Amino acid sequence: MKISIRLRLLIAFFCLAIVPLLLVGLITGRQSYNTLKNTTLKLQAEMGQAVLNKVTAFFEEIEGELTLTGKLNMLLKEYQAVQYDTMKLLMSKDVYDKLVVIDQKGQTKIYLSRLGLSSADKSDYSGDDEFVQTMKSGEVYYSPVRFEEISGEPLMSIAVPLIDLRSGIKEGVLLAEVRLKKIWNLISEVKVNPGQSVYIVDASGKLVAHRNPSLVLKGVKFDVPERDGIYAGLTGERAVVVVQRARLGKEEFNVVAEQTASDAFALAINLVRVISVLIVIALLAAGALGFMIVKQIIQPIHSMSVTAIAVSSGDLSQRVDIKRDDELGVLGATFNSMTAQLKTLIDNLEQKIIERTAQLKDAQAELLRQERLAALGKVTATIAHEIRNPLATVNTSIFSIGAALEKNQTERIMRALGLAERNIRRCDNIITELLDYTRKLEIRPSNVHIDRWVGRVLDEQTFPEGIFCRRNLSSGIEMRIDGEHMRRALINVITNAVHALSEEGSPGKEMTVETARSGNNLEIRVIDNGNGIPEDLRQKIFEPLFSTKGFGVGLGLSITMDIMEKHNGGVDVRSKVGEGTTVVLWIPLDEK
Amino acid sequence: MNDMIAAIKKAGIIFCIAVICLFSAFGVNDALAKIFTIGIVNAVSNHIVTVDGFKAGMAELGYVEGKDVKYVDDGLINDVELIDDEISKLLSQDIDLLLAVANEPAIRAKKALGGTDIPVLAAACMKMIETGLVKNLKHPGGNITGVRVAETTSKALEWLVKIIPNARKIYLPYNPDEDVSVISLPELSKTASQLGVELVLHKIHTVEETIAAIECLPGDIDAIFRIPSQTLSPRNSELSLAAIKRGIPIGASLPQDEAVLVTFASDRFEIGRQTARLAHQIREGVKPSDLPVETAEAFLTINLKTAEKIGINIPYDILMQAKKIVR
Repeated sequence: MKISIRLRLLIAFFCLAIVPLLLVGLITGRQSYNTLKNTTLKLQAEMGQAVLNKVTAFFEEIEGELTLTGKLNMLLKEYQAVQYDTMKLLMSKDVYDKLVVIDQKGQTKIYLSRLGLSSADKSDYSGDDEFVQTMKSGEVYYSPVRFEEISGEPLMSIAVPLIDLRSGIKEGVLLAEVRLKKIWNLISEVKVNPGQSVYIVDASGKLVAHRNPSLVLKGVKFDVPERDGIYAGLTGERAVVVVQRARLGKEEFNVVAEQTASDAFALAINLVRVISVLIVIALLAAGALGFMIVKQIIQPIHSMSVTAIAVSSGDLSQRVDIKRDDELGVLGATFNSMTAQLKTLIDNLEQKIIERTAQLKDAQAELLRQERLAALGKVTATIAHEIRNPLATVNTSIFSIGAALEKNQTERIMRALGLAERNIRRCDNIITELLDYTRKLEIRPSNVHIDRWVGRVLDEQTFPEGIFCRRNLSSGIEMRIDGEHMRRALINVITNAVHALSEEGSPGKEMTVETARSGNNLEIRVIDNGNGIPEDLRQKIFEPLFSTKGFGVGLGLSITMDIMEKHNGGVDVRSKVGEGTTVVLWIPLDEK
Repeated sequence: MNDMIAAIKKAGIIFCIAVICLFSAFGVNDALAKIFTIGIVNAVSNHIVTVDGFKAGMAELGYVEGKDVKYVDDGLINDVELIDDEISKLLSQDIDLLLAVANEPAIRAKKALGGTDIPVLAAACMKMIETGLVKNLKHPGGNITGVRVAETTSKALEWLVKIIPNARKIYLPYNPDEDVSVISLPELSKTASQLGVELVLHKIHTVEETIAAIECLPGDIDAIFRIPSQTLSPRNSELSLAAIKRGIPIGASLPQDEAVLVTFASDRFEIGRQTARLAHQIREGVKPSDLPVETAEAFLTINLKTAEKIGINIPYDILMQAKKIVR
């Protein structure tokens, strides 16, 4: 993915601005969190312990009062009126909702009620836990917390045994219904911080005391956690919760101190908030500054980039528009200067190219003229050479005819005429050959059975005495060729082979003409066992007007090559000096 | 160079605007905090103390009058028939909460505000279920809650009988048109029977009629017992003085005035303070239906001055049970 310099610079700005703040925030926030959590746990534990101490003292005082009153009642058991007075003293405390003295059989002896009439509303306690358990154990009994039906206020029964001091016999029970509402005041007295609260729940998790009585009266429940930590608090909000457990007789109650996490970790939260705000500010500042600065840096670079592309495309008139005196300004000015220099250089170069091209054209024209003159000279020399000889012979023949006429030597005249005629025909052939070479070659193909066609061409040939031609025509190919032109090409090659075999010192006098399929080509091979062609000459044999023979224009193989190329084929020559030469005329078969 | 300086200046301006926006956003809530407007309707002179207690309680909870809280309080409504008009007037003043002191204003406030979202706090009411103020004390329902006085009528009568152990006939004036009075009578008759005394029930409609009755009470009446009454409460002290003049002790189940010999009732100022705590919770967003009706603490008050005036000696075993003794 292509990331622009602008984006890279902006990312760098953001990273530089935010990453350090983020790291500091994370580390500081984490440390603050741990410290605050431990501190809060400790503070809650202290507060819970303080409340626990107060509550324990509250119950100890009640237990003490009831025990003392019980003993007094035993001392004064003969004086029920006095017993009443001691009970009335207790009732004046407003902590007790009811006070009942129960005899050994579980029947009410004395009954006092805070709101009800002092005539007992219940006379038989013999089956109640308060009586049975106390009588059985001889110890103070604490009942589970119950909630008053109408007001919803919590109550707890505490029963102390009435034991005869002399006999030790349990003679009854002093039962007190204690108003736990009084503990609310104890809790209200505890100074709490915002978000902090302390409350008491019974073993079933039901709220017994809280500084907000509405919660108790509503019957709110709280699942007391096994361990101190961060849990959903009483209101459901996350809080640091510490639990102090205590027992009253067989009953367990829990003093729970909690501090809402939002308040406990206010410092850490504020820190995170401040850092967040700083990050946002840094982000905005980095964004704004980065944008501006990047704009200041990137815009000239972008301008230079666009101009450079235009220059590279050939528009050297483009200039960078940066009017600044800093490094980028210098860069822009230098760039413009380089472009101007480049334009001057290219302009000069172009001028020189034009001049040099004109000179080259002149030189080429001169060279062409010279080549033409040279070719003309060569053609002239060849023609002159080839024609001069027959012409000389004709001249001589005419002279011989003249001399023979004077002497009336008919036979000599006839011989001279024959010689003159042959040499005139030779001149005509030379001129025809030259005309053919210069004429545009047009191919008119027709369907030809190659083997038969080659046979016919060979049949037409007259081979010099002593030269033997073998045939191996077995290609079986029928294809479209220009028979007339191909005949010319084949005869040229055969003629060259005959000449080679006719040379002095030729190791053999035999030639073979073959037709064959080779790969996808038709090959017509003319093989002689003459002297062969030396390597240095083999390169030139296809050049026009090249000939190693003492006669001929030297156009035969050149014309042959031209004909084969017109058939999309070619001519291959393989030759070894002293062994012979193989000339292959080949035409691709798929070409019609 | 100049371009760079201009760019930095631009960035600086953007930065400042962003900072101002961020910090101004933090302070918006405070500025939008609405003052807590509480309407107060009270038709009983003795309950002026309750209203004072309520305001004191609010102050203890941090509410500054005029800044955090505004009281729309026209003072005591002397005529019961004007209570409805007063409630309508309070409602027209865009109140957030209505404090109705005692049963009659509370019943009328509940009726008037039944179809609204305005919470009603009923203070110092008795028999709230029986009078239809709430369905259930733990879950009041509707838009009303409050602080009730405990069911102390029977106990108050018992205390009167304990102080006057030889009493046989006890005079009880009541207005038959007042539910709050009539509703106590069956239980009270039963209690009287248990205590071995006879209640002499007398239907009255005005204070004057009652004073005249007290002045003409027959000689076998041993004591007078007072129960809550919208008709009689505004002029309690006149009734007490009339009784003292006749040398007849008065007992009551509600704090009447300092001339009453014995009361077993709640402290009105404390009821007000207790009610303020509920008002605070409502302000914090708790629905009245989620706030259980609280019960005010009741205690014994004995007036030794009155006892001396009418020549009654109150034994120590009773005095030691009194939380408040007027000497």
